[in-house]
Amino acid sequence: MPVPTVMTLYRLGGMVGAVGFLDWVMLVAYFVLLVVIGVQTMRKVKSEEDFAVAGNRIIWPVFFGSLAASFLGGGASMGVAGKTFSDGYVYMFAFFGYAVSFLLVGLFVAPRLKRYAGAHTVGDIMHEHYGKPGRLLTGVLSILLCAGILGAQALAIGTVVNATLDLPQGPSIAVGMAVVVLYSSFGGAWAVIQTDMLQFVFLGVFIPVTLVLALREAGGPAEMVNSLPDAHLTFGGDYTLATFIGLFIAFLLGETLVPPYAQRTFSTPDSKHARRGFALTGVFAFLFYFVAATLGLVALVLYPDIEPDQAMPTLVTNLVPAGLMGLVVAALLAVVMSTASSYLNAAAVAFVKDVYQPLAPGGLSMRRKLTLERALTLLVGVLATGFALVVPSIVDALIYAYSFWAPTIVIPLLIAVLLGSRSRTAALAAIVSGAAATLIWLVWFQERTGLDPIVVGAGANLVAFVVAHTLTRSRNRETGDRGVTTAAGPS
Amino acid sequence: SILLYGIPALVIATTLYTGLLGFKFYVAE
Repeated sequence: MPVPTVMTLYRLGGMVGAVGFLDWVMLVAYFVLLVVIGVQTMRKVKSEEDFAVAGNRIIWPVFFGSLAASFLGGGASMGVAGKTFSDGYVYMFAFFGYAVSFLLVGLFVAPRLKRYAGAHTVGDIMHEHYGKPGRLLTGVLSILLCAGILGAQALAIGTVVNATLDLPQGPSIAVGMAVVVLYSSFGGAWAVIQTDMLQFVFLGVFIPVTLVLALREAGGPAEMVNSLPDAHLTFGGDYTLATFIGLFIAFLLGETLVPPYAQRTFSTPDSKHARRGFALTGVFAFLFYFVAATLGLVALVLYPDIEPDQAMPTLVTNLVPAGLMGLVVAALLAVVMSTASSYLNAAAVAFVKDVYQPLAPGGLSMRRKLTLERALTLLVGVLATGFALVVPSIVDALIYAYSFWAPTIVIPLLIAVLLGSRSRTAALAAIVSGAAATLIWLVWFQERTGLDPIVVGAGANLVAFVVAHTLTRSRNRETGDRGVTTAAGPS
Repeated sequence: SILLYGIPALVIATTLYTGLLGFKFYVAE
């Protein structure tokens, strides 16, 4: 008879998978801490700049930790574990596209964002280079994208609680989102960033701890690796080269400078802090994806018959001992809630700065802008929670906005920041072409080809920008409609 | 073993160090 491991003994004692009093204390303490941070940061918020970008006072370690918590959502943890369970490490290698994107943006783009004094949103940059239409289009898409991701994270709260604690999804979503909306409305970016830091510590400690526990249960690393199908460990797996490249490019471009990440970059004091924090997030993402992917593979060894998307929750409910369970569930909730609060804050700020303010007659006072952003945080949070609870199909529809970000905004934005282009015609042509190509591909060709519409849309966007820019270049030179940005964006 | 235990350990160490710097910032700011 094999010698029972510590974990086996735990399970024999009925200790594993059960949620004890101590676990509930840990979970309640986690939620109370979030609210306390929200209340304590409230007094830091005296202006719209405090609410949107924490007064530009966020130093690189806090920028890094909070950005990593915002960036590593349900997809990067439970999603990667589930897909690696079914496809092998090849999915992780494709998913590295996100980490590469963060690394490149951190090194080459994020420092330049700090040249736009007073900027809070992507719309501020687009306005500086491409005028009011650029801001409005960016603003509308920012709001739709943020609302979609927010709704998806709300649904994920229900999934996590239901899968690990066996509680009903509806009340779980309501309680989790109420806490998110509460601290985001009170403390704005200050609360979101500081709670993100707490959530970063939870997810960065207890998800790797879960992997160590799981590896011990699987008999150690060598035993685990020997139990896996060979294809699960190779770089290419069972993917064709075209599938791999398509996925990698979709991940590389998909979340580039989405509103919460750009807004978080604006909260740093200078370009040095922006570069270091953003690039470090990319490095950390490589390591975190490896941990999440390996959790999926351990689940495959231990529980080969489960559904892939149950890989991480199954490991947690079966292997984590009572006493630690509350902290691990808090870590899974931290992954989801930190992403939700960042997108909620970004949606409210984008609405006020990029849509309401440009269209409001006579401008807005500082106090009124702050009040509006608080009210909108509350409204968007309540609406997203309501949709997730009552009509989740609306959340599904809003998530499509995510597919349109890279094919419309990213390329004109990068060309503006890196090359200083001010060709309004080229930008609008690129946005329209990218959106049209994405929509056509999404509706008619994605299922037939398997190629992500982000790749096709971004390609159409780039071609349209270059063609329109070339056609209008001579006119632009005459009118001085092109230059390198050195000055502030509008605020 | 180096990879499968080392990388989680590196993630935990990075997180705790960053968390400590973040806590100092929170106390000060």
